Amino acid sequence: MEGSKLDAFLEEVIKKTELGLLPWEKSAREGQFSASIGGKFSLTISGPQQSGPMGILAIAEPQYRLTMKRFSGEICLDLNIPDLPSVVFFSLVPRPDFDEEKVKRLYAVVVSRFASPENKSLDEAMDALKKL
Amino acid sequence: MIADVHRSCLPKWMPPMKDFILNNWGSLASVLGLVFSFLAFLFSKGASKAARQARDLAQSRSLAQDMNNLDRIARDLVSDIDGGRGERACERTRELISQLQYLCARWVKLLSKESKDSLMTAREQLVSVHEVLVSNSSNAISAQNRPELIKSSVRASEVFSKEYGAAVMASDFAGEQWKGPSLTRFWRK
Repeated sequence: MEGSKLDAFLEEVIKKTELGLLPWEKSAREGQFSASIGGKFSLTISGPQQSGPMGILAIAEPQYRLTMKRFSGEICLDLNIPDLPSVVFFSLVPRPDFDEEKVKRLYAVVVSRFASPENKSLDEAMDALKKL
Repeated sequence: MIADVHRSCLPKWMPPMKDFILNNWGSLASVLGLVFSFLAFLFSKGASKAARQARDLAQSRSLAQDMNNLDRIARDLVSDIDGGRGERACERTRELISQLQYLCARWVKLLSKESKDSLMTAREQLVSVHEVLVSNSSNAISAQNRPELIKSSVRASEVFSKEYGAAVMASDFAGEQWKGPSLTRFWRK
């Protein structure tokens, strides 16, 4: 039940990101982006890093991570997808109750929006130019 | 005799009015009491509104001070990162995050949705700056990390400057509205 709720939430975040309604911003960490939702929550997503901050120890860090915080700063959602072979992962760690692919897809959508940013200001500037 | 003369000098409607007052003084006193109660209500309403506006003014000034303080520390952080002072930058980032948490807790009811969104954005930027600074093994900031660190700290500084301006504008607006308790002002409305 909780898993399906989580999946629905992730689906909604992906949808709103694709529509450009979530103001994702790049952060100081490589491959990390954050956005806020309705003055109540902030989302942070990070993907695979080219070079880990702690060298070899970076392998132990989750490859994909999605966290959600309340306005107070309290973490209310923390989804980790470790970069471990499936066999090791499923034998050691209980299977997560959400679709991991959705977090990966969300990350891909966010990254693609930064790769080809949609500039709404250009349309506005064009309209203003036409009115001159 | 004198009373008769005096009575004859009075306007014709006076004796009946006197009788009316004497006969109905209880009812008249009630009506008068009602009028005074209404006036007292009007005065108290005006006074409470003025008190509310004065409180809003004081609050927005205090919020503006808090925002200004954050903005100042954020600008110092930018110059520390720019100057490659990693340890000091790390301290400032910690201070900023902690001050921001305090501000969010204190002003949660006064901040608009947009302000909350901006402040959460600034917080996430600062958290990422802190993570990068902490992950550096040496105190110096690497040339590779510096551009992103500056970008994120400038973004946080922009948010605080904008929110500072908004808070100052709110206090200016509150100051214009507040003229103290005044009945004439109430009547004009």
